[in-house]
Amino acid sequence: MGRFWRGFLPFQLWRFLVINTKMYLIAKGVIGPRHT
Amino acid sequence: MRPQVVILGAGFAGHTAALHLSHLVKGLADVTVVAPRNRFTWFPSLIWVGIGAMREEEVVFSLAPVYERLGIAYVDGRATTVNLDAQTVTVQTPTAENRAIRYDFLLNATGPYLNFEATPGLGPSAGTTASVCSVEHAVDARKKYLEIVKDLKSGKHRRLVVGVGHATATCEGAAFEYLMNVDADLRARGVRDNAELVWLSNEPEPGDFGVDGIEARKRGILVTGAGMVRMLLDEASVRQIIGAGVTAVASGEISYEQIGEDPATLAYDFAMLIPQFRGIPLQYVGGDGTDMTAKMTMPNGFMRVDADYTPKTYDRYAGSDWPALYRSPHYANVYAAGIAFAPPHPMSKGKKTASGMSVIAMAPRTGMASGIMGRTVAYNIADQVAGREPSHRAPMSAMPAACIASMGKSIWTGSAASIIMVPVARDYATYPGYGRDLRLCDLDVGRSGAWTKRLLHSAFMWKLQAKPGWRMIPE
Repeated sequence: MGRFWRGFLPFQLWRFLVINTKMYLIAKGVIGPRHT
Repeated sequence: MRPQVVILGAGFAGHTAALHLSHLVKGLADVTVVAPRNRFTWFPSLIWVGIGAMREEEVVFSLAPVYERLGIAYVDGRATTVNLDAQTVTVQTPTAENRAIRYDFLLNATGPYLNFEATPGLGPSAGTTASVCSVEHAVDARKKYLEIVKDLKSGKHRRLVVGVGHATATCEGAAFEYLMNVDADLRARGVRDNAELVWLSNEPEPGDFGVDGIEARKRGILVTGAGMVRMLLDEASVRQIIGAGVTAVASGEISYEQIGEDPATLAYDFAMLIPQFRGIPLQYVGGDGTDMTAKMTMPNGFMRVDADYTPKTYDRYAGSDWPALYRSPHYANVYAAGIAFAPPHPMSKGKKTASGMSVIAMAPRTGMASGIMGRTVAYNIADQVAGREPSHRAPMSAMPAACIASMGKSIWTGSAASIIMVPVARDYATYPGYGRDLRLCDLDVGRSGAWTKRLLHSAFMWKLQAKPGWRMIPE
């Protein structure tokens, strides 16, 4: 990813939402393999 | 008398297990945590303490008040001996008294012994290199680092070496974060041009991080951790020494062997090198006093659990090698989780130097993985307390991991690499091709990572103090 996109706030805000939602759903076991 | 559950250690695995057990076996069993120093440390933020970007008080909290609120007994001390037949743990308290604690179920979550001795001359106690593996080490690293910053400000040129201090060390990710934070900090202070940064790692290639690398599919294109880390190191003008095992450290000089190269030395003005990890010295004995440590642990001191420890080469590693219950194969009431359990093998490919020294980035057990293991063991102990067989499984080959590798703390100018791996250990039987589910794996660099890292710090300091709603935050 180019340097511009790494600091472009609207894109980074979108990525923040995507990554955190994905991490939460995976950690909860909603998506991906079941654990525990 | 109610069953006694004893947890040794209060890091990510032990403390998480204690939190879950406090409600899973409430009224059915008593839970006791044995750990020294009455302190929980949020290790992922020690890299910031090590450059002076965060105070040490911000990464720790007292365990005793949390346990008192949850009805968990807390013993300040270190376990020295486990009598497996008498079911007692001998604990040495701060006043050097020995105290025996009876258990019905035992969890060994004692974390790593920082084995600086494996590399002659390495570490803060030798007065040479720094470390960020404990609060005290991070404070020492900060002191040494700020001295170097003074030199740089006065116009002197200095070489800073960051990486790992042994051919079989782990936690390359934490060292990488420290390196990139040093780079960001020196730029912010306007002295980066006076500093030469060197990345000294035992990984077979940059971005391996002891997990055999990372891939993700972005808009149909395969992106790799190796490509990403190489780009970041090049952009930051960091010299790379990859596939290297440090053999000795003297004041101002590091000796190392590198794959495909002759042994070499590297002069340094400041170095932060992560040591090799071993299991905490803990003796296991039988009822008649027979030493059973060799039966219970692997040669590296980590405890054997329900993994397949048959020696294998890299091309024969399988997802099914990894333990699922984290229970001793010899004692059904003894578990090990977090760094304390013995992995069946590394995840990364090892290589040998010209002299025959094995250079292998060992498998990391990060906070998220350790937390999941701790929770899994808590549920399995709760099963056994209720008279059932353990039913909860979380092998690292079916376990996700999210890593946020900081590259500057500031939410305005900082950045981080956000990495999601599903699963941590490759499982080619379930995921042909790459051994991982590339639809779920993610790899990203940007300012949003700096926000996520700060968010995780606050969220987990909240969760781990068992504040209202803590159970809504997953491990």
